[in-house]
Amino acid sequence: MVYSAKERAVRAADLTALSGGAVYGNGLQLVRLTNAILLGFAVVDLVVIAASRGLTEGITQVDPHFRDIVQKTQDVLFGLSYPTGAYPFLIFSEGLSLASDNQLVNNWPSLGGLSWRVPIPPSPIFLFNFETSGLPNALIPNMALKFRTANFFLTDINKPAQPKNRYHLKQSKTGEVFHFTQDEVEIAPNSKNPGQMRVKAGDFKGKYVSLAKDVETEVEKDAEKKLKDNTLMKVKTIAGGGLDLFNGIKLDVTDRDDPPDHTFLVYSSYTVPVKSAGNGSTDLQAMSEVSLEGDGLAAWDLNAPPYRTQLIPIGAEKIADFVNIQAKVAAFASSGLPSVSNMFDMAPKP
Amino acid sequence: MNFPKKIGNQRGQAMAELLLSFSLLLLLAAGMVQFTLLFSAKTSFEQACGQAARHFAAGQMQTADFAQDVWVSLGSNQRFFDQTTLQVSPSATSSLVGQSFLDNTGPLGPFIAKVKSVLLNYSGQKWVIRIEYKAAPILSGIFSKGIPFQTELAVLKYPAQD
Repeated sequence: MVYSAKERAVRAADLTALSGGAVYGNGLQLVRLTNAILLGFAVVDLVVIAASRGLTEGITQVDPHFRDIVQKTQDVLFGLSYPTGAYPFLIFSEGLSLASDNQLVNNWPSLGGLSWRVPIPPSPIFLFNFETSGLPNALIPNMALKFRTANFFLTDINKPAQPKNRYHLKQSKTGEVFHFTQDEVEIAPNSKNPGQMRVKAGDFKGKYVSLAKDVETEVEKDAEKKLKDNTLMKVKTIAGGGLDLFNGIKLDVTDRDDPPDHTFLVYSSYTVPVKSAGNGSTDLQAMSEVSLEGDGLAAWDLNAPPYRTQLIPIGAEKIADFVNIQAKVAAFASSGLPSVSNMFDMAPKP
Repeated sequence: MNFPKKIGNQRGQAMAELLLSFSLLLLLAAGMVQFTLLFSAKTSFEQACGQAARHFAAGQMQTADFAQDVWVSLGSNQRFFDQTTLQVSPSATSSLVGQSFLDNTGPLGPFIAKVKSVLLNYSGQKWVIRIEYKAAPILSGIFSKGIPFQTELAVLKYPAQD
């Protein structure tokens, strides 16, 4: 009987996770939609500013800031500068309802009351973007989103240079090493080692070469650093002396993490009547996680295929992370988690 | 004084006892096998229902095809069940909080329906599935009408129409 119950418990957790993922996926499509609306409003703002060029007032005075309305809506809807938002809370509440429909233990009080508190111990537990949020933050419904700022356009300059693909050939007799660029080599289907390439032309034509990383000379590194510094200095001058200005300019909503990470994890209990147990029943614990994959959240991704939800296999190492999770969550709930009544009164994060 | 007459020949007693106990043991073993098959069938039924729900969530089939999908997902375990007894009762999930909120908007009906399909483009379904297990000979004596299995499950899918 317990095997059959275990199957039901796992299935219930899977279906609840998939359902949460479905609501989450719809939310990410909403992000695309609101970004498209934001883009439209930004264009209107630009047109108004352009039309007022002849006036004596500065840009800040003629800017109608229509886009601010959309950005504020996005902020409240998706919880960008608040601990949570209206839509993440919808994911949470739909998840709870589906958990009940799938006969999982649900001891959360009905939503809506101002005296609403996290039950101790809570069941089921939903973790939002657990890998990137960490345990305390993953407990609060969130969609791992943030406002993109104008600084985004400068980040490429600040990023460390990726190692260039360079290939080398070492002569066995002399020990001399020759380097070849990506363009000078071709795919070698019958190479001895994976990743080996073949020289296209020249004295070493047909010779196998291996990939070498970090082969830049000190001179090359210095030259690149100087180039970067010069560019950055020019940008700083253009920006009026500080890159912080760019941080203050909000653009559209984008993924908080790079690479994007959108996951929804369900940790649940399923009650099984067992005659031999003292109280006549026992709880089976089941855990299930889904990830959402999609092309992006920008306005121009509006017509891209919708985000897809897929179950992630749960490895043994993750199960170990969740030993006594209910106790940990209960400790957080009794000490640090905000209640709904004060959650939206919290000051926005700086 | 008359004493009971002593049984003269005790040959075959062990054989008779062995036959009696062996038949009981055989009956016990057969019962164990049948209960194993019963629980295996129950587990495969639960798995098949879950598989069909996952197909629905992935947009690979509509709710009208749910019963057929459950039957196909049973695979080789179909032999334990009677397809004519497979009943699927679909109903709305108790969730869809957001959609319920938009439903209570009164006279703006068609407009709200259009907005809803854009803003909350997910839908859900709950099913109660029943089927009867064709009990093997020993159990069929006890359960002449078969053993009913029932399960309940629900899932949401996005996009609502796929």
